[in-house]
Amino acid sequence: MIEFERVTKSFGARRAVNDVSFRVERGAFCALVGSSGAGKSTLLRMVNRLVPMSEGAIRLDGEDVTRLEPVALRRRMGYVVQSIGLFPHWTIAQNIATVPRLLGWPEARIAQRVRELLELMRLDAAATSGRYPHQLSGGQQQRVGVARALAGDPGLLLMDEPFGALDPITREELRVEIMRIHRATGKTILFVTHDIDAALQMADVIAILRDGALVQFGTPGEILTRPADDFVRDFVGGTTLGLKLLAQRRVAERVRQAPPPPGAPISRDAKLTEALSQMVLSNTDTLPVSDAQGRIEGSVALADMIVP
Amino acid sequence: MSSALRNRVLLVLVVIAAAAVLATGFLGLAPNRLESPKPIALWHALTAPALAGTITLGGLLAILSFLRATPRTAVATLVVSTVLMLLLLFAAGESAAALMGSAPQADRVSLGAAFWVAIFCLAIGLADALRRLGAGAVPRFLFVATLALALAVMAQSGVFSALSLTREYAARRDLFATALDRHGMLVLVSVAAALVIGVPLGLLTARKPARAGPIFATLNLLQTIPSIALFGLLIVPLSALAAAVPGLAALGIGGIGPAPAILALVLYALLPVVRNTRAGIDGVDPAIIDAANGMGLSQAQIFWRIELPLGMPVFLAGLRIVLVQTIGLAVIAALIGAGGLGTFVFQGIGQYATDLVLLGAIPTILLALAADFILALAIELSRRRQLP
Repeated sequence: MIEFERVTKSFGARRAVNDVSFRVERGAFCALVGSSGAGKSTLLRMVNRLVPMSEGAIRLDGEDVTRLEPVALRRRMGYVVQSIGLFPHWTIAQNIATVPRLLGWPEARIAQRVRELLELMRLDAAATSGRYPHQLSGGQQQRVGVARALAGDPGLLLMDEPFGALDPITREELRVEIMRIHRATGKTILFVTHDIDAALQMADVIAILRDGALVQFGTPGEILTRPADDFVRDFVGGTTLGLKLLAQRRVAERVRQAPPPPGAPISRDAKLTEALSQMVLSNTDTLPVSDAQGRIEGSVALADMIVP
Repeated sequence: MSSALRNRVLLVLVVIAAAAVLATGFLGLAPNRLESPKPIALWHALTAPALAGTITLGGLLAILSFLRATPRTAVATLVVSTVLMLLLLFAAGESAAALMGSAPQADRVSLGAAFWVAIFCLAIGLADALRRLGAGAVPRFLFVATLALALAVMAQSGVFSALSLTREYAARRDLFATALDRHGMLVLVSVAAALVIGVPLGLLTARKPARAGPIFATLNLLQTIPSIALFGLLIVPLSALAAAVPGLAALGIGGIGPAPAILALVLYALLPVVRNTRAGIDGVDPAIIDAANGMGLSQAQIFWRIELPLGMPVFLAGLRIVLVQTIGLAVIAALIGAGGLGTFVFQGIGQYATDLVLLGAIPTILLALAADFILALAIELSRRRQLP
């Protein structure tokens, strides 16, 4: 669990982060969102004390981070940045082993951990371990960056626009990968991004920042249905907000036990936007719904999507 | 310029060398070590076979400059130049021995202007050929080491024993060994001290750029003081210090001798050391340092594991400048009684004995070239280890 309490960072008279308070439960995926200069990176870098806090407190499982020695604190949390920052003179295996080496793990355990992480990041361990960062593509490099951050098995992962410099396809791939790793490892993740759609797609909770202040904190559903003000409404999507809301919901939430209409069924796990798209394409307002085994379990109707 | 001409560098070198050979003496003969030598032209000095060989090889080089530049012509230039250089060295020794065989013992046979110009032109030609071949530091180093070995073997087997330079050396064998040791000591102690002081200063300027201004201003100012003046200026305060603090004089610290020399050499060496330390640290991508900090590397770990290996080529480039500069400047240290190879240079100037000047100057140049070469090799190796 990580708790921000009245956190403030001043640079001279300017407040880059102003009186921010919120709490992220253990194992949650929290996105810090805002336009550039909103203070989201600064807030993140105060967690591992790369930026010193001016006022307030950040507590990690109840422990004030300023009470901990910065170096020891940082070894307890993974850190991934947009520029990746792999060490160019070290092999991939050496890069991933950075924190385990600092923690003094035995060599056999380090080698085992490196293999595990390369597999987790879907990199070919045998082909990749001995290579140098510049021999890998940008996407592969950032996979290594994530593996390096996870190496010491930290409870918390800090990610600062980690996929911002990658092409859209690689970025989407890595987002899915991070969601999978989040589910598989149960790490708490703080993820800085300026892309609200990425946040809506990935996060359990979203903190929206504007000019250093927290304007709204809540689940994607809360933010879409009850935006705190016009700024948030515009920021999360303006006129397409309804569609984004549909994208947050699954067909399963709206299945009714009615006789299914003819036609191709849609999976109960599909998003409501996918159901809507299929309705438009097949000129119908009702679709049969199939369960995980492919059996028809009921139907979904356009009218049911519109109710809150 | 004729379109048939393909290698201007080589042709210019051949023309310069030929002009020097035609206009000046290859060897010089003097009745004693102090009088100016009478020049002896190449065609009078050399034996018939040596002369034939020289003309043939020189002609080949002239022809090579008109051939299309390919790796093959570069290899040919390299081989012909090397053979010609060794031939000229051998012929100079052989002819000197022949001249001395029929002359009084006091007579001196010295190397003439034509010899030096020809050797210099050949050295440039070799460097150019190696560059055209795209030879890296390792093959260049091996080539020069082989050439140096050949020269050493010739010297050891007495090829040069009749030359005046060798006879100056023979007369001062022990003094030369002492001077060479002292020169090496002055250089190593000064450079080591400059590193001990300069690297932390360089780190300070990299970490706290606000401090960089005054530090560089001071070091730049020191660098502008003429070396002879600085050596002289240090005499007064150091004599005063030695007089004021008992025991210092016993340690060899005083207004003259090695102490002020080392102090001056260290002051001159600081600027390149500090500048390159800072450049090496600044050259490391800040994103890498940010990632290292974020992962919990301590400042010391970041320096030893990240900044030092990544900055190594730049640090070594600084060391290269400092070594070459200090080897040269240490010659002047002889003026304030610090000893070293400069002793021969200043004695030679005082006595109008060119060979004595050369006895100090040539080893200095060779030391500087050797330091330059070894560091160039180290820089390339450190670059290769650290991939882009």
